[in-house]
Amino acid sequence: MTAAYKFLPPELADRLRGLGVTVRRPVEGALQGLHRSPHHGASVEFADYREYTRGDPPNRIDWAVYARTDRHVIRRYQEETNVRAYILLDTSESMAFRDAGRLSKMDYACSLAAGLMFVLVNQSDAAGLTLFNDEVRKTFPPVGSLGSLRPLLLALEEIKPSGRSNIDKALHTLAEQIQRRSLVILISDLLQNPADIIRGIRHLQHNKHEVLVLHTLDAAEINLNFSGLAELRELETCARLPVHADEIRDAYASEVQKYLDELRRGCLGSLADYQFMDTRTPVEEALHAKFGQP
Amino acid sequence: MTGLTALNPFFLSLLPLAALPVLFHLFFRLKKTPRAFPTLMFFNRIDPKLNARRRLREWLILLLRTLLILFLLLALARPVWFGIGKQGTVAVALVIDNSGSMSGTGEDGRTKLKEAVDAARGIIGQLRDRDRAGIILLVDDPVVPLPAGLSGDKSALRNALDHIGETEASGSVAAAMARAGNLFNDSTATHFEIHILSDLQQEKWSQPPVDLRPPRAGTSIVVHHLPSPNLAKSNISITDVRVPAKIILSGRRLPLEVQLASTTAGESRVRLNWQTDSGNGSSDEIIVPAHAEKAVNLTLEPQNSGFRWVSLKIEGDDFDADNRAFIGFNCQEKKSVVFAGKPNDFGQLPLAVSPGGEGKLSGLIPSFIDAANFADDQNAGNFVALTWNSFATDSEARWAVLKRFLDAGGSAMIVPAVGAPAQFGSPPDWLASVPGGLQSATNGLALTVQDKTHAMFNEIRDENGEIGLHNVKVFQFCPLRSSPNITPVLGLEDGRALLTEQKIGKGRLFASGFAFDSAWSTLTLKPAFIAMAQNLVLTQTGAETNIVALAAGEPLRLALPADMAVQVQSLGGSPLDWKGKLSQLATLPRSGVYAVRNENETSYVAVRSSEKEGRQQFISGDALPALSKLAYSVKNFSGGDSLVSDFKRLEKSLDLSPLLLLLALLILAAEGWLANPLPLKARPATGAKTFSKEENVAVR
Repeated sequence: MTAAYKFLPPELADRLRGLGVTVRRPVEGALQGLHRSPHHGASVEFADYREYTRGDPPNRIDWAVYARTDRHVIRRYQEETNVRAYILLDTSESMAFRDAGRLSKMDYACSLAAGLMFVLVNQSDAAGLTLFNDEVRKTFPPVGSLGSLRPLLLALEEIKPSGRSNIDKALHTLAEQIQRRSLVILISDLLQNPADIIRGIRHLQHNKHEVLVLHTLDAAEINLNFSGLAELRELETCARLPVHADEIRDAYASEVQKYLDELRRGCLGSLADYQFMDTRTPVEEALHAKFGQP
Repeated sequence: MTGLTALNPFFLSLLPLAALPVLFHLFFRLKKTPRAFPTLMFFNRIDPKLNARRRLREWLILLLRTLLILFLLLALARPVWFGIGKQGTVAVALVIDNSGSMSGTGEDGRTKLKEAVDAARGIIGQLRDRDRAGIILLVDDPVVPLPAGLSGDKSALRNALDHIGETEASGSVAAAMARAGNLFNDSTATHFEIHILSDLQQEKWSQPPVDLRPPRAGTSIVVHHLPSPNLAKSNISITDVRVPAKIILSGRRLPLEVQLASTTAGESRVRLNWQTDSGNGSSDEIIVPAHAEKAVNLTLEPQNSGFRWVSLKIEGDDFDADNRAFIGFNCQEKKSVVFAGKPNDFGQLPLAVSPGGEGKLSGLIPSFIDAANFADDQNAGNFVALTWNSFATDSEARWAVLKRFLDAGGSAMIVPAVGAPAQFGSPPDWLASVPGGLQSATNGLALTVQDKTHAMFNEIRDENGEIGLHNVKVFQFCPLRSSPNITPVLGLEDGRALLTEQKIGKGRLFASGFAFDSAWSTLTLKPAFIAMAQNLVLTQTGAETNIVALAAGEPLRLALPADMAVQVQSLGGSPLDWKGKLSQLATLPRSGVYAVRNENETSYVAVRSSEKEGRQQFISGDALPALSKLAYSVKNFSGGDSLVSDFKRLEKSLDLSPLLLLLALLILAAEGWLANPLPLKARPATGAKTFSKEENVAVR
């Protein structure tokens, strides 16, 4: 099934088979899975005791406890379920940038999304895809089989970066749409005011969702790799600015660093998982670094 | 002159170059590489006005570069603010226009020259102990005892001013400015000033200088324009006096031609007075039309031999400085004409030269010698007539004697002997005209004048310039074979030459192909033949003379070495008795007759007043072509007090060029600082925690 997909070639899929995505918070899935559920049920993992009440099956009474304490208690076990992951992919114009990396940020992000969807489905979780720029453009509900991933993977190949990005709006929209506790994976260059992005993440966190941020940037955005006088044209707005690279190189790098610090700090404060993705790093390597065995 | 003045105004004309940075900015802007970039967010975070700041900086740099060039050019123009600043020692050159035009009356009734001299006297009075002054005259005047160079001796300077008088000459502005500039060469003064007092007559001030050397840098030049309110209503000047170019004999009539010119509108009626050195003279009333020339003919009759002169003066017009003229000439008592041969050999020529035989009528005394006895050293100064036959024997020696005679300045004529064919052996190489075989024409051939301008025909021309020789026939002749460069004087209608003139050495030789005898030609029967024969003897075209005629102010053109010590004394006209080297006497500024004597010889200079000084056009504006290459200012002269106060004000001056140079340096530094900015620093972090370096490296 993987032979035809641009962003999920068979060799990549083969190398990603051993990876596993975990979540820290309980999630609500429809099926039995690997992840902790907020509910109690049948499993091998002990949760706690509760008093026996009328209607409880008598075979669940813990007779060893009754022998010691002369009380009828029932032993409860933690329910385990699968996760519903929503991949939120930024398709704004700025994602088309490529300079130092082998891929454009968009292609890199698509590869990440495809890989993650494969990993999730492969571990019996469900993966959905939401494309956005200044608003949510397209949504694919989570699917749980490899065969069902086909439309999502094909949709990735059809993406043409355009428009301006509005990340916080997409986050708020998604937070309102998702009913069950889920995993939200944001893949974007996050070229927006960090405070607005953090507000959107907090909205998701408030709704009990697990949030993973994959911050995708080209190395040339972090350190200016040109010199002399240049007229820069912003991809999303076409605004122009003449700059002398040598004059502002250090100030620019410092400003980018402060911005990255702010994002990282905001994610930590919101209990979101933040991961910086350099487009120079191969996708497989980046996913292994994040989701591989320690 | 007060206020701001540029001492090197040439650089002001380069001020438009200050626009070069703007042009370069517009046409040669640095190419900006266009680059697509994901976001400008971080640039705006560094400085929200980054672009505006950059543009502002660019325009500031542009402005500074423009100002830099502007200030540099202004500094090179040496602007000086007179009237303020430090007070130092002053070296002043007073250039006084003493040319003929300055003898006109000024506004207060005095002559302009008098006003100028009084004003100069006022400046001399203001000199302080350490100040120095020099006096330069537009027309060199040997009677003025000018101090050599700059002087602080006020009495010597005043004495020189007291001797300055009106001249009749036209001066040279460029020469005067060169002398004024030279005064400052070795001066240690802090201020250098040239004050020129002149009426700015166009004749002298409208001609651009050919080679005008600027004075020492920093010298301020002020031209004080003396107004000319009283223009002459009638003015006639003597432009030339012509004496016939021939030997002048005492007791013989001498025609003079006097050229007059009117420089004013309206007909002028004046009297032309003339007087010889012996006291004879006359006066004639002359009417000259407006702006026209008129020739007046006078006839003298000098009675004594030697150097003689005549003075001429115009009376009755309103301007005197161009009214006088002197002319000098040498007068001989009688002149000998030597005929080397028998009287019959020369036909009627001896009779025509001296009708009376004793020189009473013509001043020419004929004498006859044997041709074999002709010697060059015994006949110097005489006119010698020979026959071609006299060279038939001992030909080579006789030609050699004749050659020496001619080289020394003698005049001779060779004619065929009457009744004998021309036989003369082989002719020498230097002889340009040689007679051929004898030819005859029974009915005669017409003799024609080939050179109508020859002096031989001077007194036989009619009013139309036609020569009164008509129907002259030649019956016998020996046609001359002449070199191509020889123009015949007389000849046949078919062009064959019969009389030629050849210059040899300092002398001249007439070669004739026919005898002056009625058997040969009817020429001797014509009345004009007598005048023609006498002119032929007396004409001295090109002969050296020790008399020079020139206009006042013109350079002396004496054929004497410049370093020769001479004594110059006036014989008539303006008194002068001067001794010194000839090179020190640049010119004679007044009309008169002057004898220039050295140990061996005496030369004479006849000077007439310069007619240029009578032209009453004066420059009225501030532009003086004669000073076109210098920085100067023109100020209307309003009295000596005004000039003195200006002079005192000019003693103070502030040179602004150092200040401008300093400003230019400051601008250069500012431009360098702006054009090479330090890299921008990042804003200080405002957040609580920043990630460690290791963490950042790990993130990347």
